[in-house]
Amino acid sequence: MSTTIDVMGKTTGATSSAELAEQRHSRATVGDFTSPDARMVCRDVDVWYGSKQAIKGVSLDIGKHEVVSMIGPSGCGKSTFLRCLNRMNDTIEGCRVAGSIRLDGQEIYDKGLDPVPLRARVGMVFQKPNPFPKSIYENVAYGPRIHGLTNNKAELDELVETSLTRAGLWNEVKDRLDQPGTGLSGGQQQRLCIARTIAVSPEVILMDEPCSALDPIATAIVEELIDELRANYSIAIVTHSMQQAARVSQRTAYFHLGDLIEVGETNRIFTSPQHKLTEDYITGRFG
Amino acid sequence: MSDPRPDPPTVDPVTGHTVRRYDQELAKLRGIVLEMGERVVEQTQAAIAALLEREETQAFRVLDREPQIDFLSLDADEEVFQLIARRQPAAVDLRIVLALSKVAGEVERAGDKAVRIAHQALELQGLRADSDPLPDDLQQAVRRLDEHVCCLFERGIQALTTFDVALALGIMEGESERDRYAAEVRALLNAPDREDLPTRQRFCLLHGAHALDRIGNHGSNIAEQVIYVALGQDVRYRNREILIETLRRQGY
Amino acid sequence: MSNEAVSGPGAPPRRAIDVVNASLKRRYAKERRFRFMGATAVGLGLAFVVLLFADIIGKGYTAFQQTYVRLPVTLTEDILDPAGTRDPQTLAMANYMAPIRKTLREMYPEVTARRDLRRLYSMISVGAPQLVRERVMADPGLIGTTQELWLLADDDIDMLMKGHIDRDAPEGDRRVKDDMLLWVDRLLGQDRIEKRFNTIFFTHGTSREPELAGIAGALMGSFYTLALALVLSFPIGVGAAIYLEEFAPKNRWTDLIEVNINNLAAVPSIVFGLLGLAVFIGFFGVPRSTPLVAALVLTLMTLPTIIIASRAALKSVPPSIREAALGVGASPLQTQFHHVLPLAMPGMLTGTIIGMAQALGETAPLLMIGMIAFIVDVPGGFTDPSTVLPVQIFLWADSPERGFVERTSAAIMVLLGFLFLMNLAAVLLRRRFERRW
Repeated sequence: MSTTIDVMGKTTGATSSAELAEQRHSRATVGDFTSPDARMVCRDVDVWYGSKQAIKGVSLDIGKHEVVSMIGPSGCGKSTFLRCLNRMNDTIEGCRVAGSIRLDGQEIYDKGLDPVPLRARVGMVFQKPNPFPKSIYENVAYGPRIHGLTNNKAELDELVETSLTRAGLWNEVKDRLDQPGTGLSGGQQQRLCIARTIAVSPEVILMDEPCSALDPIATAIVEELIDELRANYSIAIVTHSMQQAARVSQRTAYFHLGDLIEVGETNRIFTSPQHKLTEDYITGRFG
Repeated sequence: MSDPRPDPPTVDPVTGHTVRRYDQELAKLRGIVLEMGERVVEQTQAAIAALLEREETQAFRVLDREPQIDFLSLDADEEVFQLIARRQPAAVDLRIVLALSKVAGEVERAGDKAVRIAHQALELQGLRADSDPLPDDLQQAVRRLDEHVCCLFERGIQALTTFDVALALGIMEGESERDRYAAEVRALLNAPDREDLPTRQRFCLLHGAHALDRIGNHGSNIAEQVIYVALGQDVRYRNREILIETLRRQGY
Repeated sequence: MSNEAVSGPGAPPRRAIDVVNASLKRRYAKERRFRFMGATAVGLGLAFVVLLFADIIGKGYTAFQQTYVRLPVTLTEDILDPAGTRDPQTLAMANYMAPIRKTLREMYPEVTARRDLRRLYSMISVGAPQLVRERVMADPGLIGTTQELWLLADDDIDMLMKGHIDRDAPEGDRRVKDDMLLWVDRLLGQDRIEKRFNTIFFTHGTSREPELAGIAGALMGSFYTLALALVLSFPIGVGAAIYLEEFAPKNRWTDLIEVNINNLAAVPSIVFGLLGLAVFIGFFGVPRSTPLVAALVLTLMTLPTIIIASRAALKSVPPSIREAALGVGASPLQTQFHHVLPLAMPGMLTGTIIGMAQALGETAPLLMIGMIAFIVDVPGGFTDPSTVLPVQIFLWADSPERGFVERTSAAIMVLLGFLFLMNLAAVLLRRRFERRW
């Protein structure tokens, strides 16, 4: 109806203030959760821990070359959802996933699908930097080695170097590749973990609060790295810092008690979110 | 249009933050802007009184009080600055801060317009040695415009307290009427058969009326900012009629 | 003055810091008391350990010396090898006691009565001829010559030399009679009797004669038993721990298994001995009193300890390491063996060493499977009959001869030394595996 003026309802389809008011309080996802160039497509994903439902019918796409951030209060299910994307939840006793999650059109929860190669395609960076208690070189070389990505030592050396370079760590560690990865600073450790993840050439990188244990400068370096990595990978990042979500992501998804409340362009979410809960969370009005 | 407002704003939009100090800071900023608005309305009325009733003291009082509005606008800027630096407002808070910053500017400029009217009043005073009142028709036309403009401006300031879209739309709807009143004043002053006022005096009055009209325009700009805060959409430079119709149809 | 609750209306208001200061003295006193009690406990424990060691070493150190008598023995060809063939068979069967007795008779010509002669002969250990035989067998050229040989003295003479027999006691209460004292004094005067390092203790198996009894048999028995028990229990224990901790589904069955493992660790060890007797010896027919069956029983006994310690070690590996490995696409097994196991290894080794040390000191279950048998030979393999150190200590402690008292203490010292070596190995291994996380 409003062809010339999209005052409202541009992305939500709500055409009246009454509808909008209703939408502001509903539990259905507000905003367009699809992506025109999707790498991962999730539809109606439910997750239960035992009898407790942690995720309720979440649909969300992760596009190529984009960073999708997931925000929400603690216990909202954002980490749970992230861990579904590479089946890390398989290791948790009593965790059940329903719905459809497809990676390049392939259902990742298919009975026949092996989660081990899946995790090489969908890499993960964790909250606490967790390098292996081995040398820096071994940390990066481990993944390619177990997957047999290289044929000889020279190729492996090269892969380690390119991975570390991409993670912006090469110049800092090239003279001490044989020293333990655990001896690096927190920010360097996290970048080492990112290098370790990209060494196996994933298509998607999942990051679970990657900067929560880092100081602001290390955080800025990692954020810059995330922005650079976007050129080659799809990235989904869970973060507690709304500013971080606003800074690094193109799209933002707001989770609340297992529901995906609102999805949209980060620009829109942080300037004019449409759901009451999103707005309350973003503006710091949350209980 | 006859629909009752579906989502009456019962909660003050600046409240509800977990950090209560944040509420207070936003409320303080808004308080400064509201005070500026009230003072501008007073200034306008005093200036118009000076112009029409030829009260020189009123005009001087307007000139005296102008710096207070300027100082308030400095306070408002400082408050905006601090809020952005310390709270990093997002979403509706960010819109409130930005809008209030702009509104402070609008109000401050409206205050300047009131001063301009006062200046014209003084100049008129100097031009007219006698103490004859201005012609009645002119007085009435200016007064109508003044009342309308002050009403619009006041409603704009009022809309800031709750960021009330309906109120803001009302101001926009009043624009055509304002134009009409302004045109009326202009027509009276520009009438070729007007012999009772010399050109210089007509010029002063024209200036004054124009400034009054601009104050009304600032009121409309405030209304735009109110809609921006409430709906998150920048509605400046849009076609007013379509905008009003769309929003009214959506139930505001 | 906000804390007016603590003061009456008339009294000057007391500040919280005054209350704190007032209680401070009491709190420090309490702390000092606690520290003193702790230090006392540690000191008491240390005192008992020192007492124990002093007692054992004080009693046992003499066992590392043994009295020898030097005699000019003529190895007459007529007696040892009448045919003159130097045939080893003949040499082995020859009577080496005869030349020794002959020498003694020549040295003490005044002793003629049969009874006195027997006492004279008894000064030399019944094991002495065997030692002479070993020398002659090694060098047949000695036959026909007269050699100054150091001959092993009897344990009574040994005790006398070590001062355990009181020369002033009435003759009837003494095992060494007056004439023997004179003989010994004569030998002393001729410099023909002295204490030398006791090699027999480390090279021989046990014996009825204290001077001939050695620890080698028990030591080797313990070594074979523990080696086999380690080989059996470590892989089984660690494997079971990994499966239970990392792979087994959590259900009623695994809960039951867990409870049972914990209970097994508390089962009295004699029960394992009974089990070994019934199952390994009775049912499977494993030869009794061998290191093999002992190792099987001790494996059963130490498994719960190793499994519990290994599971604790696995639990203490931070889950972030597992996530990291799974996150780069390692399979669960690769995750375990490449990342978790190396980190858990120090803990697992500690558990294993504790289990092994327990097994080393275990006596009761081994009594049930025949390890108490009197075995003189040093075992050469897992299926040779043998005994183990703690059982040997038990047997010697039970023997009436005075010579066994010091040997018991010496054997305890050897056992403690063995334990010390095992702990040292554990510390070194742990340091080798321990890494920063």
